[in-house]
Amino acid sequence: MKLRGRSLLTLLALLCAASATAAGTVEIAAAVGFTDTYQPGRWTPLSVTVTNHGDDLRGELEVQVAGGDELRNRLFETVHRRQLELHRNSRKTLQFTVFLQGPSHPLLIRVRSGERELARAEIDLRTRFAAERLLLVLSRDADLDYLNDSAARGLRVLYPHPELLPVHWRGYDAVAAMVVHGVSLERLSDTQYDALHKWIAQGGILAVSGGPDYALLRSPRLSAFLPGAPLGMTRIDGSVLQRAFSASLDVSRPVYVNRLGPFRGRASLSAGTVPLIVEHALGLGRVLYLTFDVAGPPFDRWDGMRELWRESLRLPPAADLSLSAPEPVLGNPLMSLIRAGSTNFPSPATVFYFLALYLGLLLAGYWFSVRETQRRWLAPLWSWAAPVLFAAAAWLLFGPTMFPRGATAVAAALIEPFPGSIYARLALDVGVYSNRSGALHLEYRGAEPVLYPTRQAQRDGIVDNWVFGEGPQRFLEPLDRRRYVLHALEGEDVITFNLDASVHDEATALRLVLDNASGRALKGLWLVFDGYAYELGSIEAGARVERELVRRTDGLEVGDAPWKSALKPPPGVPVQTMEPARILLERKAREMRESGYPGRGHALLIGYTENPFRPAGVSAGWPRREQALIAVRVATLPGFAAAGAGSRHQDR
Amino acid sequence: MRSNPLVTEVLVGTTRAGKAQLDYIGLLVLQAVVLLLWWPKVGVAQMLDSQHGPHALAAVVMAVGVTLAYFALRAGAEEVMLPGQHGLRDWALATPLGLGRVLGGYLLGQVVHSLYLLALSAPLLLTAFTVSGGEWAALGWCLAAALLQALFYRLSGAMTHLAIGQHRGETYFTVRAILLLMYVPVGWLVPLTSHIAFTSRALGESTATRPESGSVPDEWVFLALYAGLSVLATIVLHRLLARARRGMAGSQAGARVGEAVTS
Repeated sequence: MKLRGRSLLTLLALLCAASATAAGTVEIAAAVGFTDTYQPGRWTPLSVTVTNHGDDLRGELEVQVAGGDELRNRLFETVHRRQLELHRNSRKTLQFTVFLQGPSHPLLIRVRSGERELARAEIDLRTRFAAERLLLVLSRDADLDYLNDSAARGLRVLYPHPELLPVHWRGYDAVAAMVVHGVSLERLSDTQYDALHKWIAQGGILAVSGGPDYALLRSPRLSAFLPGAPLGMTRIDGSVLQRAFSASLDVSRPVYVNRLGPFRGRASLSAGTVPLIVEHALGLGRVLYLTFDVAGPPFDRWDGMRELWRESLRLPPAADLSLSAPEPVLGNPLMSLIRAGSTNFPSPATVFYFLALYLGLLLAGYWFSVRETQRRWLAPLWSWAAPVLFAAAAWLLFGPTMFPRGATAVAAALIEPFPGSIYARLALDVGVYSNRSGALHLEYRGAEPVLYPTRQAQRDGIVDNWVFGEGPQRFLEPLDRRRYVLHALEGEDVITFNLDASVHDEATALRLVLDNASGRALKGLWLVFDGYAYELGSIEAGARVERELVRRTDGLEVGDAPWKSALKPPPGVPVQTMEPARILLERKAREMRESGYPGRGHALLIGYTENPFRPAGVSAGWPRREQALIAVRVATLPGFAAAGAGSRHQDR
Repeated sequence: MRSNPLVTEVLVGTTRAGKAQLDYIGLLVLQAVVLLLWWPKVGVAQMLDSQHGPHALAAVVMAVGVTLAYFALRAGAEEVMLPGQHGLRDWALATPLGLGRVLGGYLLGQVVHSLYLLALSAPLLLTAFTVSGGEWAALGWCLAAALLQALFYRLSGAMTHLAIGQHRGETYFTVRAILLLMYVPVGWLVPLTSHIAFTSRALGESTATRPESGSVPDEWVFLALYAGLSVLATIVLHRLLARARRGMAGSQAGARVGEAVTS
């Protein structure tokens, strides 16, 4: 007996030792933001490198981020989870995009295998934050430190490695602008390049410096951004250059700049006929091409560079923090969607009739058995068969037929195509609920939004803890498993949605030209302009339409304010389904209350389309309540003839 | 199981029409009223707004628990008998069967009868289950608890009957007082003994947020408690029957009754 006890103890000790050894063989290193600097209250890229010195590892990497209001004890956690497979003596870097609300709570990073924690690291955020906006410089040798400005909402210049740039466009949340000098974007991964492109399309500013190594600027990725391709170098006369910049510029040595061929956009600075700074719009963002070497002589020693950058970049005033912007209380589009289309409980009347039938049958059976001796043989039948049959009927009738048990996904989306871009902004409200208790694991595809608990829930202090899974199959999962609770999130993404629209305001009519290359059909389309709403119907994917809309005959006079209530849903769709769309439009209108929505001189194109956010994988069979509204704000142009054919006319 | 005549009596009794069935149909009506009262009157959206699901299942399970207990108490006190069923005293005093076999058959017969009553309530339970979002396991625990609780009440009723059964009025009030006492003050002061509290814990909305490791002990405590009480009650019942049998020893009247019963 004693021997057996000792053996058990030895085995236990060996197991503990093995476990401790395994735990010590995994190392975690993390870099927060850009060059380990982030701005609180913004979405931030996070690179986590896991090194495995032990046996092959299959598990999960988890990043736990705290959020919420500590003063009012309304804290919550979001966990970003990725699958991790690491062979012996190997290393892997995984990138996340996380919302870091403040520096007070450390980031907790863990590697787990099953229930066992193999490694953990706490990242102290207090030493890594910057209050200023960030200016990223991708360069090997440029020194733009003179642009540092420590004033409130100033600028902090950082020099990140291109390999560590965000993999999601929202990772650039804290970035005011990016400068590329003498490096190639071909080094970026596809997701990094995609993220950069989307960031510019939604309003980012990219400045590219020219220089003698102009072949870099002709590489496919950079040339896709630039207004024009450099053809070679050209020498500029010193006096001409001083006229373009300033007399203080040292022109004692010859200055060469890139020679441009035909270009898009406009030259904001030229030396004679040679463009020095060319800029063009890319969606809501801008790309600047400085044809001279900003880090080379004489510009590296010129005092005027700081001012030149300031004037060229024209950085917009710092916006409110991503998720602290006031959100109008307008109701919840998700609840409206649920009200409009959810399966409801079987009515009490149905239940009453069912119960009456069952109890009546039992009573009748009893009566027959007692009163009618001839039918007494029926007693065993009704006493056992009736409850069994009615139990089966109750399950089938009230269960799968009238009220299936399980989870439901709800998603309301507002898609706003960017002008002159193949991209569109996707604002998303996502919710999950279930009529039974248990895990709500929603896998999805079609969009890769950053997701965060709704501001309304944060204000009310009823925020759930969430798990977000990234990787090949994205998922979200609230940790609260209660039934009949709507777990809601807000999301943002930039998606591919190529829609080109122009509206020409003619004397008595409007002329609309719409090229739908989005790959999705547009339904229930309306055009709102100048107090009139015009019903356009549906436009199929790939269709190009030109319509003349006469105010008196085609227009529905809606006046100034309540035009949103005048819109009707597509045929066959109940009127109450307009409510989520109304809330989304109202929300947008309040966002733009200064300029008005659609605003003077602008038309608004509104319609429905397929929601890009779709349950997938194990959640593909979930019931869905969804709606996707498309809203395109278009600057109207004068008569059709005056507008240049083939050009893009949407407003920025 | 069927070799025990007490169990056979119950099995046969459930297939015959009698007052017991009618009484339980009355209790089913009560359960149906509870179901209709707790059936959700608002839509799913309003439920999500309030973050509270329907309580129909918990209400019906509680009603089933109370009605099973009430019915078992009355059956134990022999206020209601299945058609053709004989009382416990008759089996103990008028037959040569061993007391162990009589009590074993009595307990098993009670379980069979309770299962039958649960089968009668099944359509109501399933109707409530479809909308209430409970889990099968939790429902199973609640029904197992109701069965065990009914067993205890059956034995309590039988003890009452053996002790004061000759006074019908006192027996009538005592069995109801036992139910009231156990359900209201004892259940309120010691929630672990309360089937209502048990159901509320198992099927309530807090279930999903409760740590899983903490949920099992509560359920086992209730079952162990009622199992223990039932064992105690069985021992007391055994002693009461043994004493009664000793008192009847030598009496020929008992044998005659026994012949009548077994014939």
